[in-house]
Amino acid sequence: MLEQLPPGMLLMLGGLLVPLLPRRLGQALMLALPLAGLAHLWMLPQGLVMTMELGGYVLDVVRVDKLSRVWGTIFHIAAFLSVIYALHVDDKVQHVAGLIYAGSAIAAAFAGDLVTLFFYWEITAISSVFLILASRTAHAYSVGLRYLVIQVGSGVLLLAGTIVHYHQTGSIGFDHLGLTGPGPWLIFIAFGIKAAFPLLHNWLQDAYPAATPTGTVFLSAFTTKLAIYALARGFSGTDMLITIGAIMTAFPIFFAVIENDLRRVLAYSLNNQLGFMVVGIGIGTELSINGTAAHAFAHILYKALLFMAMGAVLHRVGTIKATELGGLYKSMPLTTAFCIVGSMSISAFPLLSGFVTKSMIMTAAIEEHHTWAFMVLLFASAGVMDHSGIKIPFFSFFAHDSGKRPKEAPANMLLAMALTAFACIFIGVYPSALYAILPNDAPYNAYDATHVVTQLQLLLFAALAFGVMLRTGVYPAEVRSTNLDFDWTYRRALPWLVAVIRKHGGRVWQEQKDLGLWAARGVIGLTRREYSPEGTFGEPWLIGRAAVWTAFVLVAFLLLEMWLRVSG
Amino acid sequence: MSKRPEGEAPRWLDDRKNVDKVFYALVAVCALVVLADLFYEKKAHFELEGWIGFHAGFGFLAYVGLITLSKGLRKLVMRGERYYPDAPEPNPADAEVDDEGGRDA
Repeated sequence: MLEQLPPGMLLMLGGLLVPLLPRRLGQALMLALPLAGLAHLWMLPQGLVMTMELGGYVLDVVRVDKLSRVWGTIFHIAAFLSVIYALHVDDKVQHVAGLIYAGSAIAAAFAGDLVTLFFYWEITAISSVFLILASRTAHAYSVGLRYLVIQVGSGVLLLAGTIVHYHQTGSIGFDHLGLTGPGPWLIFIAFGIKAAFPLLHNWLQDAYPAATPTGTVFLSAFTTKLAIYALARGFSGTDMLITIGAIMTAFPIFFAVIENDLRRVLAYSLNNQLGFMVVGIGIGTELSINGTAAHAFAHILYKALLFMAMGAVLHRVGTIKATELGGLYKSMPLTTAFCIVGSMSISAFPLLSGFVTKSMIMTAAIEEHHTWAFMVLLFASAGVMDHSGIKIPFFSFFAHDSGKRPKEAPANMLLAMALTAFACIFIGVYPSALYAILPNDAPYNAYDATHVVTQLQLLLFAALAFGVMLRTGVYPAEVRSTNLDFDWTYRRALPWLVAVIRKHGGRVWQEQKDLGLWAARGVIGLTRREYSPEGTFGEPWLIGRAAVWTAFVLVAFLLLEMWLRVSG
Repeated sequence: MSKRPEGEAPRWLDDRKNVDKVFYALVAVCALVVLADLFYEKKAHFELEGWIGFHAGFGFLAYVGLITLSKGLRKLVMRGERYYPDAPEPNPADAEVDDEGGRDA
């Protein structure tokens, strides 16, 4: 019976039960689900494939192998820690959304075919948006809508690519694809959107700072790392990913330096860490893929920890702008300490998790003679020291005393942070425990003298540079601001263009509107024909067609809504 | 500057001299990790990497370069806090400042 249950299903189905239960029982269930799910996952044998026949297609709804198991494991752990962190929240929407989101991300990581992947891919999009909308502000609504269009759009590209790929190869299997034709290209772009490739990245910095303090902790774990998994599965060894990844490690850190909203700083920093993983996938050796898997594992933990610390500050103070904070270590000493563990982990200090994972990718890069990529990663490693290593803890907990004396974080938040911090240290001290579950057999030793000393040199001298710049007044002050990024094109330029056309092209506008009305009438007519008993939809549905139509209708509605908002 | 509530006892770090101590301790540790290069055989993948203190110099310069370029980036991309029409509502937890708050397009 248990073998018939796809991983992730426990969380999704259990999540639906939570709102029906009394508060205490619901909390107990929320805590139990990820643990039970993890135990269930590890009982499933390697190589297990569950199939399901649907509308004439055979779907591999579950495929358990070493690669998917790494992601399944860390996703369960992340779900558990996020649930603890969010336990005080009295908002059932967030609890249900969080569990369904985590469950669907887990299920997606075990999808053996592209149609199943698409199905869960869209569930992660739709469930996660509620963690943003739950902020219940006009801003969050607007951000949530943008987020949903982009996320669902990624799924539509995935589906389109799957259909093209199926027509060309007759396969919907989710295995190594490579950039071999238009189908895989579409799928590649779909993955790239969720992995926040350069210029496709702004949904991340837009959405994560807008979600609730607890919602962002959930968000930080799943969507982007699912995309990393999908890239590792489908496109390992794709050279272009080395370039893309290297740009990702460097480009966001400049924005992280000047950003005032500390959760947005972390979103840029998350983007930079994804770059390391993407480079690992591009190199495509056994060591580099192990490095990507290990780094994703470690990253989910320290990034969650940093978002937890900033979420605790936001929860207690009501703002997370660097300009408003400072000196909080005096009244939130534990949160400060946990935050520093997260900062040192992401900066890759010896004895902490980032140290034993990031260097696998960098070693693979230099061993495969990608020297320039290695230099960019080295630069980005020094850059991490600024935005996540120094800026996050320094401006919130130290710097100038803001006079604010918020209470220490609630007990459940502290517990979640303590467990996550412990995991960061544990991995740093006993990396072999993590190495043992990696997909490939590629021995690696993080603790040799060269690595320890050179990494300490890199980080400590970056810290020294900070000290010197701060003391000489060269280090830029935090400023309340909006920094334009690529989203300017669709948040400012596009609406402006529409307004101009509307104002100056009265006739063109009228024609466009007529065209829209004509198209709408056409769709209504078509629908009437197709849905009549003798129409196409009178027949039994094929899964593919059903999915296409569902996706199409979803996107059409979203675009319509966006259009109305832009032009209204 | 510091807005420590009156009557609250100052902490160790509130004293400027102790902050200096932290900085000089960092300088000392930095010197030690460069000296450490003399006491083991460095595994270098390319010539530059084998130099004594290469990573130290790289870390320092990379950091200064990053901050300097970012300050330049500010000139290019920085706008008022309420630049976008759907910017977050003014937050009561934020102090009132002389924020131009302008929609400087």
